[in-house]
Amino acid sequence: MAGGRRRQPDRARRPAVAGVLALGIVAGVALTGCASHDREVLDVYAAASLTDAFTAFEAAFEADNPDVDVRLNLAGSTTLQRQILDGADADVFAPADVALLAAVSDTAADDGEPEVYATNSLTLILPGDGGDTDVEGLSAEEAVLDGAVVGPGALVARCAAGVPCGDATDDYLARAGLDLGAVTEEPNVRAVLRKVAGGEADAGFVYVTDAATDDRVIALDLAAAPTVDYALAVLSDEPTADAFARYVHSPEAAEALRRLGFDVP
Amino acid sequence: MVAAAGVTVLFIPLLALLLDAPWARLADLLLTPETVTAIRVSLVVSLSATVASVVIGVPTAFVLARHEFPGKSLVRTVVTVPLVLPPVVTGVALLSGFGRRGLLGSAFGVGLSNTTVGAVLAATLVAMPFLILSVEGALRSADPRLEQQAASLGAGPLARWWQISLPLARPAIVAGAVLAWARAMGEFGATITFAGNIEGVSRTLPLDVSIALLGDPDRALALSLLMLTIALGVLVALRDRWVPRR
Repeated sequence: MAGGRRRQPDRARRPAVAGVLALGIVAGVALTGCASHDREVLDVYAAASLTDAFTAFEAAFEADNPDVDVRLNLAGSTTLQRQILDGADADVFAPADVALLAAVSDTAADDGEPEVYATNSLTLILPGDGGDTDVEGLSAEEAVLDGAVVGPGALVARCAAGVPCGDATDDYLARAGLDLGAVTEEPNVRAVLRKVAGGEADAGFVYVTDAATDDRVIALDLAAAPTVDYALAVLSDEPTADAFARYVHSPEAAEALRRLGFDVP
Repeated sequence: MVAAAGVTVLFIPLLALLLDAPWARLADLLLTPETVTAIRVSLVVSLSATVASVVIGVPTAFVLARHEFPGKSLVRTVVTVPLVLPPVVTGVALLSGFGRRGLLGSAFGVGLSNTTVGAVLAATLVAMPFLILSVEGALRSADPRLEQQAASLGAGPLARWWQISLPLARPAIVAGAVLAWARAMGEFGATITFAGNIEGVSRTLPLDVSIALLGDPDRALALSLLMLTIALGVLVALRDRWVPRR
């Protein structure tokens, strides 16, 4: 259809397209260059549940060390461990499960016993802003067992097995003798939080600290809630990596962790 | 030279996948109930999305190729934008539209999120552009005089469509449908965002790979090999399309 008519503008457009492409590539290269300009980059791989804590640590550490650029990689601990085992260039690995450190300890620069700097516990969250009085004072066991909230047909969001929060959830379900119906399995704890906060799931298992970051969810206490321990491994010989690890164990960092709801031993 | 180097780089990951695959345990890993369920969900979702793409996409392509009307470019943009959009964004948009608290979800009290229908919707949205582009292109390059002659011989619009245009577009419809099906099989981002990762409901093969990667990497490799086999099967089935016979 009207082939001749269409060909003309196409040819006229060609230099413009090339120009846009060139501009995009130049801008992209320039921006990438700026990000790491002159500053030592410290790659910190941290569990998704540490998102707020380590974002605060990044700001504080960079304020104290202006020549260091802390680059956070935040994801499920298992995903991060896999990336490191596959050769990712991490300087610090901070998972939500001490056991995950063992597999990367061959490459770890320090061979000491990992020191736990924070602990966290599992909780059941429901969508709502706290105005729903019918769940007030209800325990998670009642909510799940009696079907008061999580009845048949309800959708529960949880971490996939293998992720620390998923293993903690399995732990809790096995001990409580509970069997969930429809379950959506997420790769990290923040994905679970998003599903419940957005109202797409009827309940979800997250850590106490994650529940505290979003006022669109209500947290119900679990009886004998499973806990996780946070420890980290320094994977490079850079003194900056050691300095960052020392900062995470500092009283200042402990104070920030407590404010976010973590337990600090 | 550039072509040889480029093809080598692209070939290495696939070769490495074959070398990495746990061949000895392949059958055990692929015959687990989880995998069989994921294959079933994948087939149901991708075939439903293909049917929906053909039913909606063929008339849409016909209208786009043969008619001029106000807002035509808007229609074309709407049906092809998922091709360019990151699938996760398509998923977020679906949540806004059809989620439990989305535009329609809150109006009618039900959402399509976290359902098999939702997974089909997500797959259709990302797969249909392949069919529409393929069919529209074929209709545009078809000789319009055939239809004009049929009209001069007294054929009505419906008869012309059924007896001239549709047969002319048939190879493109078949090729477009196979491409759309392949895209639906591989869909991940929009599905996990909108339909969740629920076993037996929305956990398709790619979503199962993502779960397996967290707990059982060998199973992830076995599943990846399965998907690679399917992809190669599609390419072999379509090879005449890419190597024109004329």
